[in-house]
Amino acid sequence: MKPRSIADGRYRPISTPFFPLILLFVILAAGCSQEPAEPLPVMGSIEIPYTFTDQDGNPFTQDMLSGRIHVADFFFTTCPTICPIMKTQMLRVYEAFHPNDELVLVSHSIDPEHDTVDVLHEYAAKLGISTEYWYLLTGRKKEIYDTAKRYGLAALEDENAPGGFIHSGSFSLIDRNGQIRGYYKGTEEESVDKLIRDIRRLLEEG
Amino acid sequence: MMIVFIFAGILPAGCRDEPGGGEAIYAKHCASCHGPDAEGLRALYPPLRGSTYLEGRLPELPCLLKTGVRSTGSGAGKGRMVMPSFTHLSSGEMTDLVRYLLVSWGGGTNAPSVEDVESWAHQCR
Repeated sequence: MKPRSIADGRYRPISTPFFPLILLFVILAAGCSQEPAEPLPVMGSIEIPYTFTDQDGNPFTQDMLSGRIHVADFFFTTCPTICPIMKTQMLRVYEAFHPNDELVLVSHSIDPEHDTVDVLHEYAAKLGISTEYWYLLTGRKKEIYDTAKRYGLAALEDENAPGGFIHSGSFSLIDRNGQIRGYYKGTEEESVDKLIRDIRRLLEEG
Repeated sequence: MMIVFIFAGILPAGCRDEPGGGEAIYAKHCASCHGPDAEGLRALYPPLRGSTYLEGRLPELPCLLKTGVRSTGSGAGKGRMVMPSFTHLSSGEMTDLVRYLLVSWGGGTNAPSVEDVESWAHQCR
């Protein structure tokens, strides 16, 4: 008997009882052969030579971030516009990972005249956050503004702006080696969704 | 057409209030802190639902909106506005906002008039 062939219409591959298994194997093989996701870009490195003060009155230096992933932003407690939205979104990041010793959030006040340790302490208490996982920092204004530049984020005084200051609404993601790996719009939920996913990727990298 | 333009020019300022009424005013000026559904943010920004300012203290609300809330913190920054003042809102806009807050989260059905709100606002100390 001549072998069946597709040309003569007698060969129907799909009719083989093993077809579902073959299909499953093909699908699994395709999944295994996919290229790994591109690593997050490296946009620069960060070095902060200053000593700030946290909401508990303790000194804070960059050494405390060594070996840890961190997310940084700039705000002020009397900000009437974007800061509340940024804090709402940063809370999502906090809640997604807290507690996790490998990740820390760092919010710098650009109005240190008003945002004293006592003010930041009360602010943190009302936000319901734990200092060891989310630092609110105050310090010398010039040093804070220079730190914002180092992070690639804007911060400046402007008496015509609501609240008297203008600053970036972005969050900056820094890896364990002090490298900047991304910027995210701190006022947009979708952008913070991506930040959360990217933090997980950095955590998995070890 | 000329009559239309002349008429538009003599309309009182209140008719050129912010478009969208109380809901739009809330979205623009209040929602960033108090939330889109007035849910507040933990203990940092109070929720408006059930606020005493939408119940027995309603007459105090225009004053609160007019004067804002100042920080009582110490240091050079004392006196910063922790809640902005809304002196730029007209009487009509203030009334629209108060009514919107009352209907949305105060359960109120007796909407104050513009005269009521103006009277309350004039009593600010």
